[in-house]
Amino acid sequence: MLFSSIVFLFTFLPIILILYYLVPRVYKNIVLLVGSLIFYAWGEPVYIFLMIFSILFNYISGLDIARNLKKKEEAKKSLVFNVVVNLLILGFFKYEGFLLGSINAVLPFDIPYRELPLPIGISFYTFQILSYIIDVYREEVEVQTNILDFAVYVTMFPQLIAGPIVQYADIDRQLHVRKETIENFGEGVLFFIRGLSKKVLLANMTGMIFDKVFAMEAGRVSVLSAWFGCAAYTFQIYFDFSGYSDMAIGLGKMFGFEFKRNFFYPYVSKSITEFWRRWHISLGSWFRDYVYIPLGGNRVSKGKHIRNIMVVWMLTGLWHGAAWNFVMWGLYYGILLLIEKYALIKILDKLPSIVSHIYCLVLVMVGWVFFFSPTLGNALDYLKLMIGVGGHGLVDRQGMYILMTNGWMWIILIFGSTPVVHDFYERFIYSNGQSKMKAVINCIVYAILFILCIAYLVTESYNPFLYFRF
Amino acid sequence: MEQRKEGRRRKKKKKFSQSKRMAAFMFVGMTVFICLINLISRDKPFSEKENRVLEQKPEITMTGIESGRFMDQYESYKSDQFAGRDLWVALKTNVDLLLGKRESNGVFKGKNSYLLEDIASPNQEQLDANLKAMKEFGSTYPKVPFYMLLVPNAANILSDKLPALAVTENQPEQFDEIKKALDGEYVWVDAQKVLRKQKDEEIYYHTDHHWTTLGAYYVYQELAKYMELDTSKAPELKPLAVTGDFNGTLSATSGYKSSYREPIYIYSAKDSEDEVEVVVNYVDEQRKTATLYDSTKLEEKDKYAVFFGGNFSMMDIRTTADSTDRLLLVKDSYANCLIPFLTPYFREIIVIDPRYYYGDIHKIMEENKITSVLFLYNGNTFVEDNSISGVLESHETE
Repeated sequence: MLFSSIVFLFTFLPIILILYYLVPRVYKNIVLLVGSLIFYAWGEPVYIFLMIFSILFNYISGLDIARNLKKKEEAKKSLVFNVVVNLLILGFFKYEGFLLGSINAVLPFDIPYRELPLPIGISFYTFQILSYIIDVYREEVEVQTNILDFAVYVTMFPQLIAGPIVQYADIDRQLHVRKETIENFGEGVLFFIRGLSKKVLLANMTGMIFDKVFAMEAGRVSVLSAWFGCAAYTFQIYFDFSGYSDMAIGLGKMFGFEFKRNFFYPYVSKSITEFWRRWHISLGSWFRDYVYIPLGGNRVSKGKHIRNIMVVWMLTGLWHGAAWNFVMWGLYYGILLLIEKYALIKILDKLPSIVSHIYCLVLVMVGWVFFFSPTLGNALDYLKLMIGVGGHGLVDRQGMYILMTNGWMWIILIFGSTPVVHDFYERFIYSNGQSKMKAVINCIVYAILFILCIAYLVTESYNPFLYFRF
Repeated sequence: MEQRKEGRRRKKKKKFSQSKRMAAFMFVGMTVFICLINLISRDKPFSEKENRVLEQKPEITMTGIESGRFMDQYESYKSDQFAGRDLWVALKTNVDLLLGKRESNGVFKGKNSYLLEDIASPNQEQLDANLKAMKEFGSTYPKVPFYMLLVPNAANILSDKLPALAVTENQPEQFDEIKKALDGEYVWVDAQKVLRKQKDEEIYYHTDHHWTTLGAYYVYQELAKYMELDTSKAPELKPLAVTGDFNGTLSATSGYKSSYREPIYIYSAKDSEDEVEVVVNYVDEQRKTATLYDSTKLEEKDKYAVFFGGNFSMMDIRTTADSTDRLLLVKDSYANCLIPFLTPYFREIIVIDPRYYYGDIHKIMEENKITSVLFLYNGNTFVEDNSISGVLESHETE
C-alpha cells in the first residue's frame, strides 16, 4: 500500500488510528504490529511469511549474540552467521537476477533463472535489522527481549517501504515508552500533508515531463529539452523521496515516534560532499556506521582510505538497484568525493557561491542520468543529447513548450527545493502577532494542500474507457 | 531581561502548540467528514462521463487475498466510487490549467474551445506491412479502380488552434510517404487540401476526435470528382441538427470542456421524395434496418454513433439508386458520416472495418462484383492500425 493512495488515506489510516487511540497502552504495540503486517501484505501477501521469518530469526539471533557477549569469539560467530543469512535473503530476492544475468553475459551458456518480485521495503528493513544486530554485538544497545517491541521495530509501517532507515539505537526507548500528544499529532499532520503534497502535487507532475522527454526519439531532442528532461527528473526524485520521508516522519509523530530527518534541502549544496550530507541522510549514516568506519574510515593510509570510499560507494550504488547503471552511479560519486576531498574542496571554498552551487547541481544532474537510464549505453546517449550531439539543435519549439506550459511549476519546484519558502512561511506563521488568526491561516493553507492532493489522487483513477480510437 | 526572554519563548511555544492542535483537529475532522460522506453515498454502476463500468465492492475470498486480486479490486473500487468524483477531477483539471498545463492524456486544450487529439507517430513496421498488403490487393484486381482517402486530423488542419508552442508529429509528411508508397495502384484523394481550404468552418468537432458531417461533405464533393460520380443524379441536400447536446470523447479523455455542448448534423434530401431508400444488413449481427442512422444513440454519451449505430465488422448497404456500381469500402469510424453521401451512386456498398472483420475479402470482391474500392481512414488510426494487412492477406495463401 502506498501512503499516496485513497485506500491508505480513507480506509487504513483512519481505522488504525482509531484502534490505536482506543486501546489501552499495553495493546498499542499489538495494534501497530497487526496494522503494519496488513499494510505490508497488501501489496504481495505471500511475503508476509518471509517477514515473519525475518522477525523470528533476528529476534532469536539477537538473544543469542547477547547471551554470548562474554565470550567474544562465540558472539562473533553468531553475528557473522546472522549477517550472512540476512544478506543472503536480501541477495536472493534483490540481486539474483542481476547476478545471474551478468554471469550469463560472460559465460558461453545460459543458467536459467526466474526473476522474483522484490519484497517491498526489503532493502530498508534488512538494513534496520542489521543496525540492531550489529549494535547488540557492539554492546551499544541492549538486547530486545520483548518480541512484540522487536516486531514493531522491524515492521513499523510508516518507514517500512521507503525509509528513512531508522537505526535501532535511535528508537529503542520509544518502542516501549512514548508519549502521544495532540501537539505531536498536529505536528505529524503538518509533516504528513507537506510530504503528501511533495509526492502527489510536485513529483508526479514533474514525472510526466520527464517521461515525455525520455520517450522522445533522440533526433528530436534539443539540448534545451534534454536539460529540462533531466531537471524534471532531478526534481521528481527529490520531491518523491523526500515527500515519502516527510510522510513517514509525520505518521511516526501521529503514533508518538520521533524519527530523524532524512533530507535537508540537498539541492542548495555547494559541493558533492555537502550534497551527500543532505541527501538520504539515514542511508549515508548507516553506511558510515556499519561499513565505512569498521573498514577504518579515513584514519588509515591514503590507499586504504581510497579503497574504503570506493567500497562504500559501490555498495551504495548497488543498494539503489540491482543493475550496472546503479553501480556506475555509486562509483561516480565515490570518485567525485575523493577528488573533492584531496583536491577540490579548498578551491570550492574560495569560489563565489553561485559558481560552486552550479558546479554541484550539474554534477548531481549528470549523476541522475546514470540513475534513470536503464543501461549504461542509454546513459551515454542521453548525456550526448545534453551536450548537443545527435540531437535537435540547441533550442527548439518542443523545449520552449516544455518550459512555457509548465512555467509556474518550474518556479514552484525551484523555490520549493530550497529552504526559502518554508523559512518565510514559518516566520510568517510563528512570528509575533495575532496568534489565533495565524493558526487559522496555517490550518487553511494545509487544508487546501490536502484537498488538492485528494483531487490529484482521485483523478489518477480517472480512466475514460478509450473508445477513443474507434 | 533574561526573564522576559524566557517568557517570550514560552509564549512562542504556546502559539506553536495552538496551531499544531488546530492542525490535528483539521486533519481528523476532514478525514472523518470525507469517510462519512463516502459511507453514505451510494455506489454507482456506471460512469456516464467516462463511458465505462465502475468497479463494484469486491467479495472477500481466500484466493482473492492470496493472489492480491482482492487488494487491486478494492483499490479501484475505492477510487471509482469516491464521493464527488467528478468534482475532484474538475478541481484537478482547473489547477493544472492555472499552472499553465495545456494537455492531458494526449489531448491538447487549444484555442477557440477546440480540443485536439495529438498526432500519432506511426507504427512503422505495421504501416509498411499494411501498405504492402494494400498494394498487392490493388494489383490483384487490375480492372477495378482503387481509391485512398486519408483524412487529416484536427491538430494537422487546425494547427493554428493548438496551444502556443505545442509541437506535434508532422502529419503532412506522413501522408506524403503513404501517398508515395501507394502510387500506381491507388488514386490519392487529397482531403488535406480540401479541408485546409475550409478550415475556418466547423469541419471538426470541438470536443470529439472525429470530423463533422460538414467536413465529410466537403471531402465527399472532392471524392465525387475523382470517382467521376454523376452528382446531377443526387438529390439536393439540407443539413439537419439531430442533437445539440454532444460532448465528445476528447472531452472525456482529457477532462477539459466537459460542459461544452455542440450539434451533430445529418444531411437529408430537400425533397423527401428524392431520398434514396436503403437496407443496411449488419452481416455478423444478422440484423437489417432501413436507415443509416440509429437515433437511440442520441440518448447515450457517444452520440457520434448515431451514424450506423457505431462500428461493425461488415455492413452490406443496398440502395434503390439508379446504378449498377458496387463499392467496397474499407474504413474506420471517420467513414461513418461520409457514407450517407455515397448512397445515391451505388447499388450496393459493402463496408468493412478490418479491426473487427475476419471474413474473406477476396470472396467479396468476386462474388459481389465490386466495381470500385475505397479505403477511408483518418491519419491517426491508419498509421497505428494493425489489422489491415491481416484482412487483405489472410486468404491468398489458402
